[in-house]
Amino acid sequence: MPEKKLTLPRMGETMNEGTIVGWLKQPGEHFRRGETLLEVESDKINVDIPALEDGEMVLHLVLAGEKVAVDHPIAVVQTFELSPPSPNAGESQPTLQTNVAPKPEIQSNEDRPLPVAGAKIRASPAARRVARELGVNLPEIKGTGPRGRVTGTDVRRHATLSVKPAGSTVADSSGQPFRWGKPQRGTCFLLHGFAGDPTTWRRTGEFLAEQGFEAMAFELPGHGSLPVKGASLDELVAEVISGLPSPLNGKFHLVGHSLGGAIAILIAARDPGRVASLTLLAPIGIGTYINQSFLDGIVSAGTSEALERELRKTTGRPLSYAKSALAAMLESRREDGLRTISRMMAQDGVQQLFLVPELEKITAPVRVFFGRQDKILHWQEALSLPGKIALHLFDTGHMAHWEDPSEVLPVLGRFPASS
Amino acid sequence: MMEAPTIVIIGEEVGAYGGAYGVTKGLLKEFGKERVIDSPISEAGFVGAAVGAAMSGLRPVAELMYIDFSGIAMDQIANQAAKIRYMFGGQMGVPMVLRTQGGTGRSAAAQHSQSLEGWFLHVPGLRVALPGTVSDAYHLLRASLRLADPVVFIEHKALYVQKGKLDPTQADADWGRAVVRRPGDQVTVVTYSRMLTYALAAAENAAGHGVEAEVIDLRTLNPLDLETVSDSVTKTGRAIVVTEACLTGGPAAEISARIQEECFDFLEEPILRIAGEDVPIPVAPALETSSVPTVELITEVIRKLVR
Repeated sequence: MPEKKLTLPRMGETMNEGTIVGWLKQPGEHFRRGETLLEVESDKINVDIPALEDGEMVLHLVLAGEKVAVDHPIAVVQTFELSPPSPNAGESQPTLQTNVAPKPEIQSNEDRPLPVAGAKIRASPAARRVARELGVNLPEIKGTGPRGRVTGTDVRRHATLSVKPAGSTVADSSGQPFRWGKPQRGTCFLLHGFAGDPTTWRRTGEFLAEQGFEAMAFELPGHGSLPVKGASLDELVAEVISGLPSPLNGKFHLVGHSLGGAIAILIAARDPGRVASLTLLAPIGIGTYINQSFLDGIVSAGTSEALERELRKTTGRPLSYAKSALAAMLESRREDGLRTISRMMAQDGVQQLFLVPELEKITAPVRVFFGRQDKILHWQEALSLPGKIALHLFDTGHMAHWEDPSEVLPVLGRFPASS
Repeated sequence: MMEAPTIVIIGEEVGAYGGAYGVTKGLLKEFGKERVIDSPISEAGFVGAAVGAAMSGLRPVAELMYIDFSGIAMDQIANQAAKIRYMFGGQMGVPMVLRTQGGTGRSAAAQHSQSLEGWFLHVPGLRVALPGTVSDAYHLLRASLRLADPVVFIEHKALYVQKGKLDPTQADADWGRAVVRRPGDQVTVVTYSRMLTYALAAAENAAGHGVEAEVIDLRTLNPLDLETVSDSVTKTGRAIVVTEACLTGGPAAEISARIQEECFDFLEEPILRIAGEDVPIPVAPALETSSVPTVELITEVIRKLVR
């Protein structure tokens, strides 16, 4: 019975680290192949990690609630295989894989495991609590306490740093845009979808920053900190336009997802001189069908469970969401704003916006991205778009850029030049 | 004694001599030898008599000249006074005060200078009070005389010369509640008895160096007001427990452990204990002084813990 070290598997390429939600197998417990060993949270998603062979849990190296980097040892297990182990099996061979098929990795620093200073981090109990509450990764923080101990104050300071290096998110709950990168090759404005928020662009923003773009994600009115002032989409668009800064060269690439796609079309139609290109990810406004139960469910979701049920419709493969993320979404949502916007978008399952005429007038290059497993919109409706519009189809649900960044983002990052 | 005719005092030299440190001076003349009783030199005898008197309706104050002598009376204290209510199914209790004094400061040597509150803290059934201010010497004693439980009331011999203002019209001490004697937000110093005076002086010194320490006077160790302490430690993230009692197995260990259990998620630093050395108290004044915490030591620890 060889003893093996279990390491944290990578579950999708945006994952650098994961938080152990809980161990389902305690030391001394036997498990059968396929049984869930533990639950891991990463990128707001909870995933069950199954055993690939029969065995026994020997020791947990990482406790529930702790965050570790991918490939970091998390447990010692004994496996009950009959044949002698291969020469390499005694080393830290991963003994399990996830139900996410491995995909080619994007070569970037972002995707390498974060440096973790041994298994132990010197941090005060208060620092650990504050890090837990603020979702901060302790190994990233330089401790100022005795012997380099990370203090609670260090964590708070780290979490509230208003200026971060390029490529990282500036989190802000006051409606300020999230920013990534520097405008070496241009500026991209990112508009999220209905009931979404700027954090859904994190991976996109980081990718664009790596490619030399400045990316800014804006919060739409009616979401989180901003109320809806007007009662029509025109007023909503005017409000968004008034919040857009002017990039250095005057032009920006506009990227909109779903509702943000419809808004992007209207911005480009009204202000054609400033839009260098238009990228629409599963946009509203080019067809008639919409999943009304999703809209209604999102608007009226009062519990984490109800919210999760709706969010599971947004991806090709339904995902589980972290309780903390669901709670945060529930807390920041504005039901009145969402209801108003939902009525602007659709009634009785029929989209109330038809923006193809506007699209036809836009001179900047336009691209439309769709996932063929979209459960909110019918991707086939994009097939009737004018021929000058490029259509890119992916094997995802409604959230292509979020679900499959390694496939989608390299395409998204090749912005077409204006003719 | 004027208010409650059931209160009697019994002990060695409490009458004609007025108490070894003068705390019962004049009482014999005022209340007579029926209520102020000079006992033979037998701690087991007069403490036992007080336990019996308390069981039969009086409210005795047994005056133990030095806490160091409590060993002789310990069966009466720990096995009788502390257990009677339980052994008799709650039919009667022992509402008495064992008034005594301890601590260093008068070169009284190893058998007359100990801080033994930990012995009593370890016995369920005993209340333990240690006044650190002039007002508490009066109002906490009055509160102790109203309790249904036996109270070990431990004064500090070095505080007998401390001057302070007393307002006899003020309400008696809120029994079992600690008091924040000095507000601060960077470190909590938990203490009682004479070390309160030291801690307050140290906190003032530290304030001169920009460190604001909150000083909590526990006043009673049983009950232990953990709420006041944890409110403070939750705020400051740092705690120091200061006792004159020696370190090993002492009250500081118990208090520290409880803070850790209550406030773990809020601690920025390990909880530190500043306590007496694990030695017999020497008679030479310089050695005696250095066998227990000093203001300088407390100041230094406060400053080092908050950098």
